[in-house]
Amino acid sequence: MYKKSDVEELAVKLSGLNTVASIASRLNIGERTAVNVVWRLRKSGLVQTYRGKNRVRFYRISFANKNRSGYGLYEYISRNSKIKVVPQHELYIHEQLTPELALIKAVEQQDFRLLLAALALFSKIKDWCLLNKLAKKKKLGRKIGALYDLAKRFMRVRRIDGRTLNSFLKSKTDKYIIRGLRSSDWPEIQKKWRVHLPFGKEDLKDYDRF
Amino acid sequence: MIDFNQQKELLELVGRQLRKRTEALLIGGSAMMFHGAKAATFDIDLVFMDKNHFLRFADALGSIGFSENKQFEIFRHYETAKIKPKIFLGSDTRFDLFLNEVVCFKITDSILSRIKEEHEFGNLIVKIVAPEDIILLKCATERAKDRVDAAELARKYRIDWKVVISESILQMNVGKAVYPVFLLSFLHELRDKLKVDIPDSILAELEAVCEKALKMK
Repeated sequence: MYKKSDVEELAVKLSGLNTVASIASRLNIGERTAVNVVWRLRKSGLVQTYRGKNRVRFYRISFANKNRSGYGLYEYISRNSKIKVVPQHELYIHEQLTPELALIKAVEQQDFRLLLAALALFSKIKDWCLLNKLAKKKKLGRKIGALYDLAKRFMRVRRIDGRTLNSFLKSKTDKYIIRGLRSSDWPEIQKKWRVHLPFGKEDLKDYDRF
Repeated sequence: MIDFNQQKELLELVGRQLRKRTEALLIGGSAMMFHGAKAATFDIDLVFMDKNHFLRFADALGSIGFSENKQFEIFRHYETAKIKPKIFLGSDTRFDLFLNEVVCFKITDSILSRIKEEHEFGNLIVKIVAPEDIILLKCATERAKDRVDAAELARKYRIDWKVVISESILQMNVGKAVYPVFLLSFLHELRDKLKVDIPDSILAELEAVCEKALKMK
């Protein structure tokens, strides 16, 4: 049986990002016992789980998880995308996180891998009006439009309505989606939307259909 | 005293009042609550890196019923602060707002790089400073409860003491205070009175730094 002090001691020893294998090696125990340790820590509210590629699970063990509230942006996008992101630095949003809001936040973060993973959100957008409103507020219309056209090339996405599309085309925004990054692929999309796409064809290989 | 949920509600309320994006660093007991190392706190300490954000936040507090108190002093040696903080009192809590520095402790780029968690409450972005920096901020005060807080942080987190030492040296180089000396006596207190496990090698390294620093000063 684990006492409260044992659990706390384990939490301190294992604090940070772990996998079952790393926990087993750190504590010099078998992997099945390591799973049991994770379960015990999770029961005490000290574990946050992320899914990596090939179904690998990452566990962030910390006392901070006890008071965890809000929606983690990286966690939300990872859950809704084929491409997984494990953040060095998490952003928690204290309002209802929808695919529309998550997409806008992903563009604002200027994080390459997060934005790559966020392209999958175009298959989950239901409220184009909301997306338009948020994009207008943050002056991201043409960027969102260009990312939509890119996503459409290699995955099934929900169809955008004409009014939203026109609104995106007319919006004022700067040229770089991610500052300093500009791909030489997709010239027609970049010309149409007058923005620089950060992703090349090689970057999108993780998405199967491409 | 306010608990974590009450603090969160207050921050959400302020976030709704703000018309523009406002960023702040959360330090002290409030930051410890986000780290799960404290259950309640007397006040919410925020540091702003931009004067506009500082003033905007102060206005937002005024609009939700907090009043500025100009006579209140948070800790001793208040007169040494170049930019005096603003204190706002509510019915059962207090906001302490600082601009760029906390009395003589400057917010450096290294502190900003160690931030691993941000919380967005509407237009308010709150960044939680790392446990190492919370401990360093607490070493410059003379309050017993800060020692207890630091001990609690040291017990719940694997504190990288080398980071604490290097930041104290950096603080000494950018400011006037001999931070390593404050830190040395603070760590001795934590180890001797509060039984915090601090390696001897860390204290030895810090002693050498203090000797060098005092010779230079």
